[in-house]
Amino acid sequence: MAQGLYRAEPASDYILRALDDVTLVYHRRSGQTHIVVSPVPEILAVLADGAGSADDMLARLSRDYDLGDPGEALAAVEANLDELAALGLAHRA
Amino acid sequence: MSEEKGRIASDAQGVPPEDESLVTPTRRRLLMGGAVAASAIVSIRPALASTAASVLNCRIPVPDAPHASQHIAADGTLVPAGTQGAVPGAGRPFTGEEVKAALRGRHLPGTSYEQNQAYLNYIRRLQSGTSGFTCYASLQMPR
Repeated sequence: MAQGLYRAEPASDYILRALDDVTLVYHRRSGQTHIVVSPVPEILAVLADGAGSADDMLARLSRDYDLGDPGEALAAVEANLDELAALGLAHRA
Repeated sequence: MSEEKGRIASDAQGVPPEDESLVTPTRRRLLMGGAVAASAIVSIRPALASTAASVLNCRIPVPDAPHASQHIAADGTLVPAGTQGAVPGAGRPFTGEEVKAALRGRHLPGTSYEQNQAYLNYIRRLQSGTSGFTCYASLQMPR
C-alpha cells in the first residue's frame, strides 16, 4: 500500500510550550492553540527533521523511544499525522 | 502564577524539544494511544487561549446530563439505577484540577472509596462527544 508523505509546518509558524503534563502548541496561521500529549510533541519533533511517510516517522521515533507493538504504533502515528494535517500543523507532501 | 505557567518547562515532563531529540540518551516507553488521535489533541479557541490555566478549571460531570439517572458500576460503565455494586452519580461535576489530583492517587472530594473508583473509571472511559471528554483529554499525561 502506497503511503502518503507528510511534511512539517515551518517551525517559525508555531510555538511549542510544555505546561505541566501537557504541551501547548500555538499555531500562528490559524491563531489556535492546541493542547497535546504524547505522542504528538514527539511526532512533531521527528517531522521537523524532514518530510516522510508514517513509516519514516515511526523509524525516527523508534531511535529514541520504545514504541511497543509496531503495528499499533504505526496506526497511531498515521492517525496523529492525519490529525495534525487536518489542523494545519503538518501537510501532505 | 500566570507568569510561571508561561515559562518553558520542557524538562519537567521529559518530552524532548524538537531540536534536542538527538541527544536523548535512553529509549523511554512512548505511549502511542492507539489509532484515535483525537484523544491526544484538544484544540482551544483563540478566545480561550489566553487563559491556559482554565484547563484545570474545566468540569467533568459524572455522569453527563443525558445519563444523570443512571448509576455507575465499579468499572465505570453506566448501568440502571439499583444495579448491585453500582453507585449513584456525583452530585456535582468535578473540576479538572480535582480529577488530575485523583488520577495521581488522591480521592475525588467527598467520595467514598467505591465512588472514587467508579467515578475515575467512568472518567477514563469518556469518549469524544461526551460531556467532559475534552476536559479529561486535556489532563492526560505522558508517562
